[in-house]
Amino acid sequence: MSLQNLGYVCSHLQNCLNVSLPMAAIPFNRLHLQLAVGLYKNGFINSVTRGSIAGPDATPVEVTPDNISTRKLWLGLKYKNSKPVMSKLKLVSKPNRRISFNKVELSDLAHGKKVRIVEPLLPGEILFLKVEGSNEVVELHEAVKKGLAGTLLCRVK
Amino acid sequence: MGKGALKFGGKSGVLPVPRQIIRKPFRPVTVKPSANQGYAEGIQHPKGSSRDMRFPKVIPVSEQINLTARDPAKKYTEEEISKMPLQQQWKVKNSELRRTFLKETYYKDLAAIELNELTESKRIAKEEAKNKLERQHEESNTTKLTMPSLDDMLKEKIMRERTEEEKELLHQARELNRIHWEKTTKTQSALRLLELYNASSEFAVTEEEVNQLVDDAFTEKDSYASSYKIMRSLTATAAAHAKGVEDVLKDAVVGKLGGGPSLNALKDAVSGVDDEIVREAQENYHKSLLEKVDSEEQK
Repeated sequence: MSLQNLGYVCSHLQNCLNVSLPMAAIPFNRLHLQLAVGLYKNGFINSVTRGSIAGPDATPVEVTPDNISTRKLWLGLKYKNSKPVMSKLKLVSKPNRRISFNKVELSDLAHGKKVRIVEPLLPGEILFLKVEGSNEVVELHEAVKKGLAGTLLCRVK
Repeated sequence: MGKGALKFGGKSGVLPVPRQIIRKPFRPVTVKPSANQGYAEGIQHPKGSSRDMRFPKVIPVSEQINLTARDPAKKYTEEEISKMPLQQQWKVKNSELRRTFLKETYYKDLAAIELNELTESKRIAKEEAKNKLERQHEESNTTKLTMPSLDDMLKEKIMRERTEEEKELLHQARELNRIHWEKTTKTQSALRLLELYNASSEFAVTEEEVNQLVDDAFTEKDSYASSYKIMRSLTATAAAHAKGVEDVLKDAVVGKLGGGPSLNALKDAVSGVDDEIVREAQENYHKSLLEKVDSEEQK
């Protein structure tokens, strides 16, 4: 899990949204795919398509060690009244300061309390976290419902 | 740590060390053979020790009971016990209690072992059945022709690893590339060295030659050309750089390098191709001479 690359993805998506691009390409890996799926499920983006640096794939292409560097995930960005649906993507954990919460702390955060340095979620805001001991990335409320603990990744508004 | 009873975790007095009641196993002990254990052939083992691993003797439960908790030869009735002195009564009761407890322990332990074995065998059977089912399973056409969903993609590996054949191909391609570059760089360095060697024929290596060149330079009218000539003669790099277009063209046409033999010519000389050509030419020449002489004699 590279928080550095996740930070780059957040910045890149924000930049694409600022100039109203219809699609944005991010590097293809498990973490980014999970983040994209999370954004899609929560209605922040239109589509998630596999592709390469040239664009989304017209026909399915197998991912191999030879083409992994050129593989990209193409996200369809969403706008409403000429304004982006996602206004802000921000890392919570930083590469040199990872923030891990247990299930009680996560529950407190989900219930609108400030936990350590993490401000409570605003309406329409979601927070992704990586579940402890697995590669799964889930949304805060889902984690609280399942009673999971994990490392906070990024919050999207 | 504390004092007194605190020393022993708040318990008054020292508890006896738990004792292993069952010393001999009920079932044969199995140990996986390891290549790093034991003695190699031809290596002696210490005196008094065993060359192979010694396993504890297996004693079945019935025999264990017979050995350690056998019923007494004489069984006392309640009436007989009540007539005994108090100390002996306690002794008989304690012995009976010990025998009963030990027997129970043996049977419980055996039951636990059997349960473990049963669970393990069930697990193995289940796993085998699952593996068999997986081997028999064939993906349906619907699965084959449908694009994987996002959840499926997340469950599976993101990237397909290289197969052994692909790894071998890649290794060969890299090896070929490495050899090609090695050959190219070695050829280039050989060319540069040969060029330097050929150019060295014009170098001034003795004092007299240097003086001669200096004299020539200052006696010539065209001072620029003369100084250029000196520079060209004095250093190898200067000689290499000073080569004009004409020189290069001339060398290319004649097949020379820096005025001397080219690399190919040297290769031919070293490999003996030149000698063969000369020998063949000489043989042909002699043959033609002989033929000429014969024809003249016939005339």
